[in-house]
Amino acid sequence: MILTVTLNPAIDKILILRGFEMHKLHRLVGDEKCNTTAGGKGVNIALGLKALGNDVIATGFAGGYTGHKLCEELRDHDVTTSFIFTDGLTRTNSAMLDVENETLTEINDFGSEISSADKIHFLDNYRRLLNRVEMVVIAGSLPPGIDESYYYQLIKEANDKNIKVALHVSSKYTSLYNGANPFLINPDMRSNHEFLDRPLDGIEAFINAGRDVLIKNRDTDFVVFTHRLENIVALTRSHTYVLRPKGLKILNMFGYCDAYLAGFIYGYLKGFDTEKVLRYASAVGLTNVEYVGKDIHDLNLIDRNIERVDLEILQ
Amino acid sequence: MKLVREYMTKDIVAVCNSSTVKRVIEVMVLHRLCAVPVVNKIGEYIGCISESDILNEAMPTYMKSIANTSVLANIDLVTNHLGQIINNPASDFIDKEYPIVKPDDTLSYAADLLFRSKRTMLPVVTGNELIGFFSRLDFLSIPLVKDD
Repeated sequence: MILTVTLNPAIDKILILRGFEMHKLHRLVGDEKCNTTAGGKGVNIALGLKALGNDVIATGFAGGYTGHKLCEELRDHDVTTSFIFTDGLTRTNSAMLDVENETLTEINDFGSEISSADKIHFLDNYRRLLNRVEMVVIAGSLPPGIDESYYYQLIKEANDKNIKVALHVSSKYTSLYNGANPFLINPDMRSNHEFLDRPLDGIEAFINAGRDVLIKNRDTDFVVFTHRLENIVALTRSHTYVLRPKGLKILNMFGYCDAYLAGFIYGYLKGFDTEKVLRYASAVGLTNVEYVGKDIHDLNLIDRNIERVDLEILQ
Repeated sequence: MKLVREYMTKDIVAVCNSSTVKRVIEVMVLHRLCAVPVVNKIGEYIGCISESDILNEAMPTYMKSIANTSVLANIDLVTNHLGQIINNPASDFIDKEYPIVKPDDTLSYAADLLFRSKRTMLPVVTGNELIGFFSRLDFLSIPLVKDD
């Protein structure tokens, strides 16, 4: 059983349209779509893990009719829910994918303020849930009222019970990369291109940053940079890998990193060796970006796409 | 044979036995539930608290000895009593005999238990582990489930 933590989940409203123009009324017609789905990084990963075949409990904060909608959709996909409900509403995030202009525009809401009492209720529930899971995935942004020390505490409590934590949060939460010691670190660099207070891009920079992280986090086994899909950089204590998907036809980057991480965790818990875990995760990510939706939809295609992932071992 | 696990609500919503009555009511309101399972500190299921468990305690004593339903309780007395018990521990109100079902129980057994016990929901428990609940609404929704 895997526990996913999404402290600031969302209802994702995704408009798939053609030829959007500013300052004009755009009515959806023909094959244009408006999809409303449960979202937030941890929620996406929970849905991905379930699609791949893992049993999942999703936790976090939720509220109001959007919170109930979020939980119902998770349960419709056979994910067990255990959210702390708050007085505020679960936020709605909007995304617009223009398939004609090949643009993706996303607007993410803040989320509702979390009270001190609800933070305690969550921690109590989290501690109880830790007694029934083998891995925790902590992903996504923090809602107002919570700072990164809360994430630090969640990681520590899981580590104290020897439960592995996969961390996929913004690279701006610097303290988490300086000794929180999660099992896996996969920084989310979509809106913050700095990591450990320095600009970061390119294979060499990722490798150096990854080595730095492994030194600062003595119990971390994997550091993975998925920010550049064409060059995914993964580091372990003994090896450095670069993975390159061949013949990439990107249709949609929405939820790509979440799909990648779901693939990684699935492969790891299946007992795949490191190379196969990394190839499989890349194949899940690759399959996701070549499909218009954010869900993991075709397991056979993932298996076929493994062949399209080049893996280079640098050390 | 239809089983509870196929139709239950997989939602682990519970209060801890060290919570207050106020927290129990909050969880009922926020989760839209008429009863809330209670677990201990490490998450083991120990019983359930229903709306009526709290309401019965809040009713004036004289109402409990009056069989005539046309006599109404003084609402100020009821709310006053509620105010007095709101910070009491949830453990005072736990119904440890509250009926439960297991995920592999048949649907007919669960439905029978639900209606005979006049409950709105039954916690679904494996060993000591709460894994969700089976409600009247879950039962009523069965004809609405579309086959893939």
